[in-house]
Amino acid sequence: MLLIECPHCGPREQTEFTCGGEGHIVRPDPDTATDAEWGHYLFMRKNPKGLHFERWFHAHGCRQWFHAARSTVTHEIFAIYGIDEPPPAIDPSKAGSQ
Amino acid sequence: MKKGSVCVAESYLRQSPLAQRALDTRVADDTSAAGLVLSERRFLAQINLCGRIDSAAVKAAVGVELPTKPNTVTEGNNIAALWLGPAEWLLVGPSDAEKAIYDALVEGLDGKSAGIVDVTEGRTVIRVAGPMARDVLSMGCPLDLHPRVFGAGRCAQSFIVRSTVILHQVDDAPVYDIYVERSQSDYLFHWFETSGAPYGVAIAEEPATNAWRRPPRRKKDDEA
Repeated sequence: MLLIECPHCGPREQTEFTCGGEGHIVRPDPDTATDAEWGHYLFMRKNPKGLHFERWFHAHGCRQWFHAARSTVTHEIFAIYGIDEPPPAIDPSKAGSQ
Repeated sequence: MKKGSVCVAESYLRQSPLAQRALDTRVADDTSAAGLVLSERRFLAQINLCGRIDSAAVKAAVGVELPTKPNTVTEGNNIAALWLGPAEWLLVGPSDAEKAIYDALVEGLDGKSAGIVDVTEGRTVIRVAGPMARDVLSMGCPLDLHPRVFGAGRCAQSFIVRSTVILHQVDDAPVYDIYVERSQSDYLFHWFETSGAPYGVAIAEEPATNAWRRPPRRKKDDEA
């Protein structure tokens, strides 16, 4: 069980949240994107061992989205930041990345 | 803002979702020995307010200021305003006031962008009190309810034994108001009764509420 710090509500139990998967995926322009680019945008996701930037949703709380930088090895959360903010600089080796 | 019409349930059809528990007939004469004291607050007016709301306009329309600090409650003019999100609030007033509060908000926020929805019929409120109230709640609720974190005037959205609730601590005694969706209210009430049984459960009379009065409208300059 993770204790996740919602940017609005403070630390809450993981069961109140929904994980929205990988963050910072940029939507290509549908008018100019090739089928390969569009397919990559829709279906291809990173599955890193270590540092992962992901979106979380406080579904049973304030119903707001935000970003979290989490280690998929240790579950340690390194940063919580807004849904419109860029990912912070974190040393991947600290998160067990290889 | 486009004005909508409010849908108010016919009063003769109106029934509390806990009606079959016949709480009125089970009211204890003396609740002082009980560890958990339960009651239902029926038909409280509940108006959901969302958007970038002009707090001063709300204050002028219904007499309560909206809280800006997350998970806090402000009270005024017999209305409690619960913070639900950065741009979402729940206004709770006495029973049968939902139409009047709704109309006052629609008029007061006329021309501004706002979402005003009457959600009165969606939930009922279980009042949980007594010396063991915090302990019983902690059995089913993941929130940290310790007094150093959560006290009177605080609210939070979470769940209790898988039922989505809004929790409002009314008093440090402690007294909690649990807003629960009506379809889950019977289950939750049953859970409170069985979970509190080891400490003794008593049913209390429904807490009285004071009537909501519309604040006097400020005269415009040309009328003065």
